[in-house]
Amino acid sequence: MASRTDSELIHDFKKGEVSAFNELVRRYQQKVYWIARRLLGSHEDADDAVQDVFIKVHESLRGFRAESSFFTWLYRIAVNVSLNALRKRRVLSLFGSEEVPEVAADDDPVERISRDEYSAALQKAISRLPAKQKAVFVLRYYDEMPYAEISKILRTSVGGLKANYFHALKKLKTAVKKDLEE
Amino acid sequence: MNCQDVRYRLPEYARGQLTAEESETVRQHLEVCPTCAADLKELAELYSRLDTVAFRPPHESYWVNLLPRIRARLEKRSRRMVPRWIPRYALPLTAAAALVAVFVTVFSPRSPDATVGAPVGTYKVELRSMLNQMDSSDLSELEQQSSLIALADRKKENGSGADSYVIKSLIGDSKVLYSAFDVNVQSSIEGLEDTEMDAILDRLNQTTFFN
Repeated sequence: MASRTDSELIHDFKKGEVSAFNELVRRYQQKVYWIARRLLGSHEDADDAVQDVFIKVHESLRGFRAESSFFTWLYRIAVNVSLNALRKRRVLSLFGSEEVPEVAADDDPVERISRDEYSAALQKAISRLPAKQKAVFVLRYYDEMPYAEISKILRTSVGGLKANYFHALKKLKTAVKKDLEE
Repeated sequence: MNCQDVRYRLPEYARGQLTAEESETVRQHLEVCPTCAADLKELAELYSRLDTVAFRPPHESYWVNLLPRIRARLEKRSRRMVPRWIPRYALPLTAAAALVAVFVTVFSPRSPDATVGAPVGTYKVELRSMLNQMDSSDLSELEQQSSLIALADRKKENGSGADSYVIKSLIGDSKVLYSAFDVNVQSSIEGLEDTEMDAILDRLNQTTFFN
């Protein structure tokens, strides 16, 4: 039997079929996880975010009117939840109750040691990108998403996104260079 | 095509993501423009390095267990729904009140010897729980307020100042705060005068959160 489309699953969910939501989670859990992981750095933070995303989806899906595709809508929620988590981390760090990680923490010591100096500096630079630039960078570089699609997710013009992406890359180049010189 | 046109196309050119026609136009420009050619070389190196920055994927069992964990949280939530009569702004206001409490404790003229760190710890657990329930606009607002407090905090802690230009910008336009904060306001704390400190406090007093 052919698998149901997103629209069919949403339709069935609205009619009360619980398994339709489960199917949507299984279909998109990895994509949502990797957006959150790349934006937040650690597995633990990404895990919290991915659960929050699907809980929001569950709560809002009945009101979803398909003005955009489910994929775009889901990505928008994933990016917003992750950026909110970054903001919370920043606010908490101002009160000394939480450290902002220097690098996007992937806390495997073996992996960390095996990284070369440049890659470590690069990872640190990525973790320090301003939130919006980081979101554009993750969607464009890692997901290779077209600007037109990112534009729908972040509600920003394509021109603005191109500038954001260019400046994010420039910032990474400069930050890595500076870090390696120190 | 001039340098400005080429600049924003270089990231896509370096990854072979332009159309054949666009790609050819960029290539022709690169042949006659050493500046853009140098930019491309740097960009290509950055991309090759970026490809080596990888996160360790979670264990395969994570994907199997994720859905049951989400369902368990949904089940738990359905048992303790927040009553509808609680207004949506209750949480940000409570968080703001906590911030005010920290602020007043630290800067109250009646407690000149109060240490800066002590009251912060008292509120942090409560603050964390409230932050977890706030939406993005509330957080943006709070982030702006708290970064101002952090500036004041540092001033008190270090007894020395901040970059007066940055601080004046902050006082003059709270929108500047956000972008300035992004490039790390806290690193610009040299040279803050008492009068500027007073101006920050006045500014705080005028904001929604502190009235």
